[in-house]
Amino acid sequence: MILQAEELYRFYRSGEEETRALRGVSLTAGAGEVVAISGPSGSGKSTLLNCVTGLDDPDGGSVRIAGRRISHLPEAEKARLRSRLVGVLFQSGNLVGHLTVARNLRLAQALGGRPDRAYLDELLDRLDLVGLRDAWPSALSGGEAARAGLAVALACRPALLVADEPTGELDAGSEASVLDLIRDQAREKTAVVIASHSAAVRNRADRVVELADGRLV
Amino acid sequence: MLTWLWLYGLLTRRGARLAVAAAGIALAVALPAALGVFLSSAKTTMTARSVERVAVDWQVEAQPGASITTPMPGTFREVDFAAFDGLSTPTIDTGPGRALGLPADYADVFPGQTRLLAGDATGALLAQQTAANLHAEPGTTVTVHRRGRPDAEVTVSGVVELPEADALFQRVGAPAGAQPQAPPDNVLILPAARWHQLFDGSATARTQFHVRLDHQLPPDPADAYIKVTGAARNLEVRMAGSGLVGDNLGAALGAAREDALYSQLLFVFLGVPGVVLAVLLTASVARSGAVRRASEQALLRARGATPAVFLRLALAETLIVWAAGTLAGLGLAALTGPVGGWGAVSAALGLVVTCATVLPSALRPGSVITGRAPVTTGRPPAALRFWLDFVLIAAALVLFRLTTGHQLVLVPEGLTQISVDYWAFAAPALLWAGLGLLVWRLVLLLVGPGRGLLARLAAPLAGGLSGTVAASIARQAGPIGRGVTVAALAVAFVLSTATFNATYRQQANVDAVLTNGADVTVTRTTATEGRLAGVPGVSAVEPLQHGFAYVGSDLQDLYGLRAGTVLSAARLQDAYFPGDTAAGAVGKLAARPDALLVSQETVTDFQLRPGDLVRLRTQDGQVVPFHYAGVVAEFPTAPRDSFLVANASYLASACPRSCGSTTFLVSTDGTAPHVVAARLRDRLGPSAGISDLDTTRRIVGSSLTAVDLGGLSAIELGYGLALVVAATGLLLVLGFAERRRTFALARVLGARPRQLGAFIWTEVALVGLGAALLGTAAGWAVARMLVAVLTGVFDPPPDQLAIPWGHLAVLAGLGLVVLPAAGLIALRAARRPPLTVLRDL
Amino acid sequence: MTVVACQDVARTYGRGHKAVVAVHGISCGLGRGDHVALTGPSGSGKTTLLHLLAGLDRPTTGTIAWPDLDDEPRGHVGVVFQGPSLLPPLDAAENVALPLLIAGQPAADARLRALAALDAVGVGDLAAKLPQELSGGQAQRVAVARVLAGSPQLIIADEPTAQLDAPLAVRVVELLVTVAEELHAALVIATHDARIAQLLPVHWRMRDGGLTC
Repeated sequence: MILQAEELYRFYRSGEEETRALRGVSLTAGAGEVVAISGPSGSGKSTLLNCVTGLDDPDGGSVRIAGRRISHLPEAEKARLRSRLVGVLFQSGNLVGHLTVARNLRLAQALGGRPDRAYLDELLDRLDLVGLRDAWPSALSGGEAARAGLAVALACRPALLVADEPTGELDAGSEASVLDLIRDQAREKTAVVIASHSAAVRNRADRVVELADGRLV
Repeated sequence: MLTWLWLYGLLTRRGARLAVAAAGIALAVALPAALGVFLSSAKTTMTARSVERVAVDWQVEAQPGASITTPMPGTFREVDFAAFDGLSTPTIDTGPGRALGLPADYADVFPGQTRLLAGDATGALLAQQTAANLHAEPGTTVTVHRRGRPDAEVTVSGVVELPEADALFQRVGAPAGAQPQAPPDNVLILPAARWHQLFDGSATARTQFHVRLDHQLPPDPADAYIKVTGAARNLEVRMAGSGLVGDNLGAALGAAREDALYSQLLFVFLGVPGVVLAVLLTASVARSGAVRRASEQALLRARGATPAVFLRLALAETLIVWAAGTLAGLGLAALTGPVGGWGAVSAALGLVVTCATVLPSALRPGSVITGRAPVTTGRPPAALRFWLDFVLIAAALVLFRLTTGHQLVLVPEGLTQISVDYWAFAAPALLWAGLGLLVWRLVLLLVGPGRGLLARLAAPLAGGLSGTVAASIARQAGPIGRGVTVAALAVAFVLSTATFNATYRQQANVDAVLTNGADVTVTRTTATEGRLAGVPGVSAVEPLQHGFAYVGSDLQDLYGLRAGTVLSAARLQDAYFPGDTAAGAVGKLAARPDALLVSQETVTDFQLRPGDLVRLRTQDGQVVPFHYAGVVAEFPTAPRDSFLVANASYLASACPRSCGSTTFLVSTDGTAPHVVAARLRDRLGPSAGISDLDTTRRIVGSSLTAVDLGGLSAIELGYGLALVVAATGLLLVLGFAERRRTFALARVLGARPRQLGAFIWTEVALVGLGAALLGTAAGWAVARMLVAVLTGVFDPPPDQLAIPWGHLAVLAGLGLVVLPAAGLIALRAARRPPLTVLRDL
Repeated sequence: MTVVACQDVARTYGRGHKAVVAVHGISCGLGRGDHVALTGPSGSGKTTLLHLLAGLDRPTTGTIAWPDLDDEPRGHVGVVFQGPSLLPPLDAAENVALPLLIAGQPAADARLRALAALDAVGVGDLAAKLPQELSGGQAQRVAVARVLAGSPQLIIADEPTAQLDAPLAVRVVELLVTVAEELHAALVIATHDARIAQLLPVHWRMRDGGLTC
């Protein structure tokens, strides 16, 4: 198993109110597996992804990626593991605005400590971004931006790819092509976790996990 | 690699924003560097002027019965002194005086000591006053009544003036604070050989070595003072009691070092607020763009950036901004002179400032992706919640009370070090900070609880949208409040500085007028009034009698004026006549021929009441009756505090011979006084004493006045205006950029450019009026306190602040350009297709 | 009864060899009561066309007319778009009242109508909330209330549901349709979501700047 998240609990407190975002959620994903997480707004999808990627620590439970615990570590330690093991893809804003597409990829590789020009060129080629190498993020269309974001997420050959509504702003054609690319990546022995309410995502997943009120359904 | 990538991107795509931050740093660096350069050059000038002013650096006097064998430093000449009982020509006798023996090349070595007025310097010379008393001229034979010896005769070859007579005839070794000795009435200067013939072995003979040191002095007058006085004491020790040093150069440097400290005070007073403002401004610039920065940081974090990476990237950005800002700032400062050590200090200061402003915003950790513009709804800032503004202002007033009247610069008895009472800074500094916070509070009050009022004020610009505009501004209270505060402080900075400088100039002028008496003053001339009036550029000539008279045993200056015309030519100020006006006092003289104005001190000493009879004794013993009519505190050309003023016509009839010489006060028709003075000099020849207001303004009073605040004020004001532009225009434009979404949305909803304008112009007006009104009020308050605290640099102290109209006009004009420009830039940006803007954001 | 009519409209950005043709050869019309879904891949020119229809941009060639609006679309067009479409510094009621104020209505009337519109779309209790305090669905409802309050004859929505969950998205679109029916207005919704498009009777498809009705 590449991702092993066990019995995750996460509570937020603001003033008197306590929000129970996660109430004992376990999630696994193996190499080459695409897991879709679906559920309405506020069901805890984003919290789950934050815990899985080590951006947030669960109040209870633990997260292991490729056999190494990522939860409850010092921030620097978590960041180092994340940069090598996890690729993160958001709905938008995946690119640093003041760097071109290729430089965004190089930045990601530099953060992971794995500069690899050959792989960078291969990714650009595979995601049909060769012509956009030197394009600025603000000049990209929605589909192009999503493909570029995916390229950046994959720049360090992560073991786990986590995507939060990656196709929320795409038309049907772009959505299908991005999902196909993600599927292809899974075949390269990457575990994929996608949170989405899109039917197209669910249709292409190996497994669909329903989340409601912080619990698995 | 990572860092270079990041920086490369920042420089290519965010260059403008970095440049703006760097510009803020440049301002913070340029001001202290430029002021430092100014201060150093001012101090160097002070030292140089002190050296120039002194005719003889040291007068080393052999003690009675001893002779000096210790070698003298530098260039030196032996000068001999002896007393005589009188001089006489066949028709006229004068009283006792001193005879000097000078070597032949003395005038070449010490050119400032004597000035030849007539004849040549090869033989016996008479001081000008002595020659006048004896009616002697070159070729006249004069009998010298030697003390205890037979009379001798000398033939006068020339007449000289002794400009530094006070120093020349000083009592060397007199204890500090002792009454200075008046120079002798009669002075005879002989070639050394002749002096030795006449006075060798005389009981009154004294020998001095006049020394000119090499002038390789430290540029700072305080250091130069320590070096010179140290050397003087060292020489005294080596002379082992055989001689004492009259340290003229040390005394001049001692006065200059006090002035240097005052100029240092000015530097701090005027410089620190400017630096603080630049810091605030840079911090505001660095803060804008926080939203995008936060989302970038969140993204980096998701990509696995460790805290160390954040720190590295933030440091890299900080260093770039610092380097660019410092280079630009030092470049600016270099326009005023070589920056040298001050450059290093300012660069270090710049680094601190950059770290304090750029680093925090570059480091602020982003944990979530926030895509929304910050809208303030929360509580006022902590400083205001704790009433810090009122606390600071109250503390400033209390401290001001406590420190008023304190000597700012302390010169402890017997110590070579002088010190500054830096506590006096606290009051204006606290006042400035407190007023800044108060401005902030007022702005927050206006845009928050005072929203209704704001809406009514906005109505002329915004019409039906005024409520919405007010609401929109209210929710931006944070940035708008900071913007107005920084802008108001910048205005206050410019105004307080300009007011201070204008007041300083005004007082320097008053001082110069008082010293010189008129645009041009002519003494020691036999020319008539009409001849002077014929010189081009002269509009009026007023004769003024000047002589001396004893009041009791006190010898005072006696002035005789022409009551009918004096007001039109002499610059008499009301302040000269306590409890009266200039016209009133002159009227009293006009009303009674033997009326006399005396000093307050004399009134007190002799218990005078108006109408009392006062008898004055002239120098040749004649007694003249006057009637006391009023008090005079200052009078043109009057050197001391105690003097007498009477009617010239009465003086002329009462003591036609001995009531002194005529001084002419010349007014110009607008031609520069120094030009008219040059023409008069051509016309009247070298023997006439001619001084003009321009020259006097440069040399009177302290050497601080001489340095002239012009350079300083140009630096300050250029800098202040740049700050005002940046604070108003830049912050507005940046603020509008942050709200592109709001404007785009309003356009989509059908807003016309005029209606978008309502949002923009209301804010522009708020910032402009807020900065102008609150800034002016704060600037006035700070200027008042500054002038009060720094009273010591003013001579005489000002009755009222001078209003810098010129600067006010420039400031207003600048506002009228910058504010509309900022609004127009924002309006133009709002014209882009709104849906595209919204997509981009 | 024609709200907007396009005749051979084209819009080009830039000049010379750098010119980009965003839309071209578009002729179409909308009458009152027409409900249209505008679909097409990203970059096909949907946003440009919406700009033109709303009168926020002018065509490079061709003509657009708004016969029912006296050729002055400003103030008669309601717009909802993707992402946060509320002005951040204004609360919900102020946001809804803004187009009325822009159109010159007295402040008090505008406020009353704004509150009524918020009630009508079921978010009357959010009147005093700032946009940052609203969820995505709530914000879009307020945006719909803003359209309703303005009583426009043309409603244009650019990807109004892009950031909403599917069930929420459907509800927002249904609300838009209801409002359009109530006002008897023309409605155009640009979307890439086939299920959303299905909720509308007429489909316009865009491809490479061209339109097939």
